[in-house]
Amino acid sequence: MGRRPGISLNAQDLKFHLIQLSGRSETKSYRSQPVYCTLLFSCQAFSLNELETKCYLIEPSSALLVSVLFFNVTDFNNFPTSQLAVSRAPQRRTVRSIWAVASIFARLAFLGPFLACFAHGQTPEKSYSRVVLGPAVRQKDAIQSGKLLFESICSACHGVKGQGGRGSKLADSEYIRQMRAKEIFNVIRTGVPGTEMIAFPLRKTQLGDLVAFVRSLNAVALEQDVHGDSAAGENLFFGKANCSSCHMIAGRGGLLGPDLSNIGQELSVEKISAAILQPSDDIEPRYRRVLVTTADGRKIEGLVKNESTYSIQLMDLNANFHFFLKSELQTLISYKESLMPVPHLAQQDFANLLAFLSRQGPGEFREPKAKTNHGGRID
Amino acid sequence: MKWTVTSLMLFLILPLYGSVSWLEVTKAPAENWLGYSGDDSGQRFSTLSQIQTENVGRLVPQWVFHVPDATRLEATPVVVDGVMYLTNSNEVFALDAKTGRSLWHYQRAKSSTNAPNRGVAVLGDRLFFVSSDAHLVALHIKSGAVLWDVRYADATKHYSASLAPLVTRDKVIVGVSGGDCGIRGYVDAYDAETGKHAWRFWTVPFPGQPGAETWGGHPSDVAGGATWMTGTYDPVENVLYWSTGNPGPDFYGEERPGDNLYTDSVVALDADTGKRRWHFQFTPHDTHDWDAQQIPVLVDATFQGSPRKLLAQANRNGFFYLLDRTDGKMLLAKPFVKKLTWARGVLPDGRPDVIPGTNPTPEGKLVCPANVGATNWFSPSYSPQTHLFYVMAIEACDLYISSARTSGKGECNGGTGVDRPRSNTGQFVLRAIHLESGTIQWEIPLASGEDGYISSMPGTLATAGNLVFFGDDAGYLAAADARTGKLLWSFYTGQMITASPMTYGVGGRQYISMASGTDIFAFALFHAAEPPRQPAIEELNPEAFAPSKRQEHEMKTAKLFDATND
Repeated sequence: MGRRPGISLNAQDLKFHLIQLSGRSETKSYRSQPVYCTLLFSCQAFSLNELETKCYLIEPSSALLVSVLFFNVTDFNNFPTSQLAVSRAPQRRTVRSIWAVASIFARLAFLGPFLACFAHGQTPEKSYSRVVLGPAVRQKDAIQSGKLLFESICSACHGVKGQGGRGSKLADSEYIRQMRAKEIFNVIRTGVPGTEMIAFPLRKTQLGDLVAFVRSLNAVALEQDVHGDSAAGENLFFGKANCSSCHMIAGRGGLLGPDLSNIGQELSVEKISAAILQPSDDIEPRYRRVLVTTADGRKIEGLVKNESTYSIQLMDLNANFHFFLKSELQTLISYKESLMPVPHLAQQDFANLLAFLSRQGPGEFREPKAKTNHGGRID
Repeated sequence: MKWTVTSLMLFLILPLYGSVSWLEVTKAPAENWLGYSGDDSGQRFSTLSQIQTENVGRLVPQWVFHVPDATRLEATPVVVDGVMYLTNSNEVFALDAKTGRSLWHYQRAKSSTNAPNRGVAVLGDRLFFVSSDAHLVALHIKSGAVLWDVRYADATKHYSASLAPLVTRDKVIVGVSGGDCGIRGYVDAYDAETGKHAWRFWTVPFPGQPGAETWGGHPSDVAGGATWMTGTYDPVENVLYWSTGNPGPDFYGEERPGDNLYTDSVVALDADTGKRRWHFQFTPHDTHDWDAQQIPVLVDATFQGSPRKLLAQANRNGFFYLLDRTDGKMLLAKPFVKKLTWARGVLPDGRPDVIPGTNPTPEGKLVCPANVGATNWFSPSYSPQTHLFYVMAIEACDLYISSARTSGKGECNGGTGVDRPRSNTGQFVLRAIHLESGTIQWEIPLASGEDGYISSMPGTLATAGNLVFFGDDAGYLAAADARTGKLLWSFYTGQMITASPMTYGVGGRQYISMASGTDIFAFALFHAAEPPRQPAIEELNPEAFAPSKRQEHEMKTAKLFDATND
């Protein structure tokens, strides 16, 4: 099932990342135009000015031309991670000037951005949001300028690192992660009525930069850099560290802990690390540990899969289900501690394990779906 | 008494707790309900008899589980050792079957393909279900963790999937949907352990293959023959019986001259190799979209004095068929609806005696049964106690309209469709057909829904309590005496019935359950409940339950953004 072995990215991963980063609303357009996605990356490459990195200013086909001419990159399979993980904005002045010339040349040679937008059936506004709000998180420039803006405007309430304070927490937050870029954009622009979050009617480029920065604060482990040997981490997971006695990955492992097949897509590296080192700090729903005594005196220790005032559903330590009405129980003892022990690992082992877990995501990139229009009808 | 015996049997198989061997799937359902039809035979007959004709009036709701994302649940839940497995499109729930409380929930990434889902199959410690974009997924029965996931059809080419898979001793069998949209149908088999592909049976031959001559020599890639309903399985013969869908374009047949094998048929396939043993075509050269996707029910019974291995199907074309399932020879075919105008009857060789001039025309031709069929996918049932076959019949006609527009590849083209005159809205009738003679023993005409059109999909269930359970177009689940058709009990679900009922046992009680609309309901005989009582509760460390600072923060964030989403 093609599980990702290390941290190198291939073309599929790239597409996956784009879709991940682009948010739900944009996903469809990317899926239908995978080529466009690659073009957007090309766009980033010739950022001339940090505040003018918006791809919509650059005609996509010229971007492709330039990328082919200057980067000689047509095969994303051989594209090293480091180049993808950060913007390929110019590192050297000479290269930068070549890009500048090429870019101007390209703009003259082709019809310009708006035609291109219309050719793709997009209004400039939509195209704008697609570009700025989509893979912008990968644009170091946008993130950088977003960071500066954030520090001057937002940090007083939300904290310098988005950690929250008077305002809500904006970093490593499930809620932010689930928000579409456009939603974040609108929250900043129009504020949240009835709260201290006032409207910030900034320029669209500035808002886009802020969105890029906020999203970068919420990258999941799959998008983050890790320092460790994933293969060694896999050996630990299924071997010495004994994780697989309770946790399953891709169909291998035990049943008492949560399945970790997608953990790299669900949590940040920091959260995965915390979950290993302080397992009792944040116990997942359905994994709370209890000991019950039944009316006939049997004692059953297990995990609470569900509970109401009237009934409780347990999975015992042998992974068998037991369902009780509360009236069938004498006592119900809840544990503070998670069933999961804190592993004793050397620093390097821990890094390796973290690297392995961080790379656990969808094993297979799912191709775009065509919309079938016979839903609801009897076949 | 029967209950005690079955309880004892359950005790004997306890060492297998939580794991289902393939042999169990072959037995008539009792406490457990181990597949779409309860067992491999498709009879949808349960040996449970705690609920009987005498006490069914005391049947009361026990719980309702709501599926938030559902629009119409079409699944029959599966029950294994007190745990119910219910599906909606791209999601699976495990529920405590006694209380309806959820144990785990598997949600697949939302797909743009819109298809209903009809349930899971179970073998060993795994569940099998299909996603709307035609992935076959194996989940661990205890946790819902994905064990393997294979894409078995290309959703970008109009394939989709909705059926509950079927298991044989070591394989999972699936079919495809999309027959009205330009696909070529097939039945696919995968190794249950590894997900490795085992075999494929194409329901439409390729040019040059035997059967291609029934397509004017040129069967197309958009010929239809979908396989969107669960088949049945004879474990002794190791043969699968799978019904197939209509040819395409649905209503225009000029570009596919011939019988169009193997559409609108039932095929008998060797379960190990997928090789066809025989086929029987119900509607040759169909131009009315009469898929043969009704459950092919396997019955071992006496026919004309000798014990036979039979296959019974009430077909969408209006005839009830009885076949010898060892060779596919037709033994009997009788109409089970009164509104039937396309054929005078079925000839001894199995071909319908078609009345000329009943094909769709550009102006429209009124033909009965309607496009929805004399029945459809919702399940019939058969009781070996009464020898009656219970089917939801539909008395309706449609104005069938055709157009000559030929179908391009991957184009959703039915060759036009149908119109139903207001004056002819149709009606559901529950009919009990005597298996050996095909005669209708009794019937219950049912009131239509509020709009007067046939829009619901209510199936039936027969039990050893001499009961038949069924839904109707007005949203009721009801029970009748299986011998006489006397109505005994009804319950208004408040929504359109879109599935077939089933029954299971847990904790010494028999339950009747049905998914309907957006909810699943469970009923059992009334017994006075004891007042809820709480155990002594001890918290080893109370502050563990106070929200940590971090959680408090996240809660606040949640509130903030909930507000913005309004």
